[in-house]
Amino acid sequence: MFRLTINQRQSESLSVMLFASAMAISIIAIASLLGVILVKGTGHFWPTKIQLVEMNAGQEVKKFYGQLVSESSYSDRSEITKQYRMTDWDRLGFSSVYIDDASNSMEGSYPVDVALLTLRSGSQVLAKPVSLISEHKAQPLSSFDQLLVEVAANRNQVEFILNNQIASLNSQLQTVDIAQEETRHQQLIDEYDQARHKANELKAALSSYLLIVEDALGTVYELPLNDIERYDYVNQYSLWGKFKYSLRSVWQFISESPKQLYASGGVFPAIFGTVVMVLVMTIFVTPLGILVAIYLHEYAAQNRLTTLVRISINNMAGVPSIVYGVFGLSFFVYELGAGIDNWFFKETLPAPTFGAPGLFWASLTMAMLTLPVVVVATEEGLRRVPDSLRMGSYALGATQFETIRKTVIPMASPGIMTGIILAIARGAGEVAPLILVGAVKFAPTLPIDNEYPYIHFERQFMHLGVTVFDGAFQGQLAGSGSNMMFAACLFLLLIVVLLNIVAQVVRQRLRRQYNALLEH
Amino acid sequence: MLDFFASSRTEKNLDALAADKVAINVKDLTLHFGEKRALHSISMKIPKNQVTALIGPSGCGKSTLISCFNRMNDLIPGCRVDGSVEIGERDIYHRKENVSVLRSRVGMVFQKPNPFPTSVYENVVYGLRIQGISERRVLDNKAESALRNAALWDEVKDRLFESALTLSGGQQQRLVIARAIALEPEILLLDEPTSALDPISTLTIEELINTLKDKYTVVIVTHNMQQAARVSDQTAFLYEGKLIEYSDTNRLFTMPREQQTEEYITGRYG
Repeated sequence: MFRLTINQRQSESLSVMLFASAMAISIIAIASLLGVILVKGTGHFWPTKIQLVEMNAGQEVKKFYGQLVSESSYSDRSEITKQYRMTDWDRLGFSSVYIDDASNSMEGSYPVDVALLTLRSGSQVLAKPVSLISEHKAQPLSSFDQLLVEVAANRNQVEFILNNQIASLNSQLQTVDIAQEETRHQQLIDEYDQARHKANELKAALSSYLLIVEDALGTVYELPLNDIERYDYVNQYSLWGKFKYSLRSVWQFISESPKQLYASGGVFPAIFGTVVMVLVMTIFVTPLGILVAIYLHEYAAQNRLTTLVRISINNMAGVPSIVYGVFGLSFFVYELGAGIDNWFFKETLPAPTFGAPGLFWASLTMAMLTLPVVVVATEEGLRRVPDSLRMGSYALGATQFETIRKTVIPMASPGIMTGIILAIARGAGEVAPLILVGAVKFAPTLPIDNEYPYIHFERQFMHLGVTVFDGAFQGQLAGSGSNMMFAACLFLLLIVVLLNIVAQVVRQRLRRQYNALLEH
Repeated sequence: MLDFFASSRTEKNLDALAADKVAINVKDLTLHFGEKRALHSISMKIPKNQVTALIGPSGCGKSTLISCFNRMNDLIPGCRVDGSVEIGERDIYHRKENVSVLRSRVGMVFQKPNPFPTSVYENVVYGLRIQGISERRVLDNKAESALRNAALWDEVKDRLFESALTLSGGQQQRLVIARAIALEPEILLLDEPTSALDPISTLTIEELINTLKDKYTVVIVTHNMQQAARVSDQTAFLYEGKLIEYSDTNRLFTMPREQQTEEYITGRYG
């Protein structure tokens, strides 16, 4: 009955609407994904204004300085729940406060003389700086910058004495024969004592630099200036000031180690670990993938077997990544790794060297995972090299290998590059298999350092994707951690998008090159 | 009348040519693609420093025959060759024959110009580099003389390092010829070299072919009978894989011996 009531034109426009709305839903999905990551991710860097929040808790009025983290309302209740970040004096760090009924709290003012104090430990303090003390004398707040520089210089000097002078004296003392070189030994001991004394003096001087602050209730505290990394009068910042603050935060994010369990600091070790893992993976997968593709396309007879191999390789790209992780763990780590330990690292057993998840196995597993990407892209590149060029090369007396090396590979190189870039993007973004074969939430050391043999294939490493994954769980506990997760997520997204753009540009260039060739 | 005598003399020479005058000696050549027989026991002697044209309708096997002379048909799966092709008194189908060396001695130019997407210069020295020549001065000299011999030097001398793809179709085809003669081959095989070109470029190439025979033996496949008549010294007419008639060009086009030849050149089929 219904079908009879609509004519052909109506049904035509209905189907167009169906397609269009499917399109619209997709666009909304993509836009909201990018929007959420962008807003939440950049939120980590952008300074939030500091509020003086007052709330009624029974009879007494509580006051604190806080930064608004989130605001949510429920449709069935008129209440608004607000979450603030505030300073917890007991732990000298941030904690969150939820205020269930916003009507209990009074929207406080934004006091301009309250600063966000970032400590070197990574925690932050919201307080009003009152005065400064150096060498037991009060100093005006205007000398804050100058005193911070002084303190930093002193701190560097102490560190220099401890790390260089005392360390070298120590090693000299160990080599000196006390019986034979008594005077020299004594001299070294004196020098050592002097250095120690100097360091202690400087340290004492350092601890005499203090910042006096006042919290929202008017309680006065002292903070050692040596603990303070920087201060920001966030509420006074103009747009440019806020922008500068953000830039500094971004730099901190990509250059520092995580602090306070990913509540602050940066993700440098994760970026570093990701880069090293991806590089090692590329070293494995590129030659192998290219050789496979060349054999398949240039040498192998095109029969049922090659078709089967080709289909298998294409399907390998669709295997869930966790399967590769399980394979890597059970075969690479437990079989190969244990074997290597038995042969080469017998002295350290039962503590495993290669028999535990680590950089090498993670890279190898990811190389297997990305092999199909490289093979398929390379073959696509080879397919685009016209046969007439191969013929031309053979006709000039080139062998098949010379033809491949001098004509086919150079012409297919954009396709090969595309494959490598896509593999890198895949390797940078993957999480599931990495958790099984070597990526950890926190690694005490980097996979490359100045310790022999400089690159440590057996070490566990940190990875951006894994950092995001961990952050997602932590985010339920502390609002501050979730922002860090979004920031890491944004960073990951940027890297992958950037790599894909590069791959796209390379592919376009390839197309143009061949179009020019096919015109004549 | 004089013409007639001249041609009859050449015709006589084609069968009983002195061994040192023969560039390619085809003996009882039969070729199969899988089960299908493409060439039927062809025997012919191609004289040195002359232009020999192969004509015939599409699918008659003329391109297959020419690609037997540098064994390009090896690349086609399922191709089987019986009989022999002798170049310089050596059977190139001997199993010890080095095909790469053979192809550097017998150059080939295809229907569509196929320059490499590199510079003009790199195109010309490609074969030389394969030979292991890397000395810049030698490469420069050989490239220049090859380009001069291919009548291309004046047009490209100022753009040697530009992409070869920026040249016109006719220039590209002459570049491909230059690329082949840079190796100083004995024989040059041209497989319908002008079929993808405009008439003016075709004329340039034909003039070039006339000058090339001083140095090289040229074998040209063409579907254009006027072209065969213009450029060649002798012509072979193939039909359905068989060599129907092979004689002096003037003779073949004016007084064909076989009826099939006459029908073809008068345009009754083909």
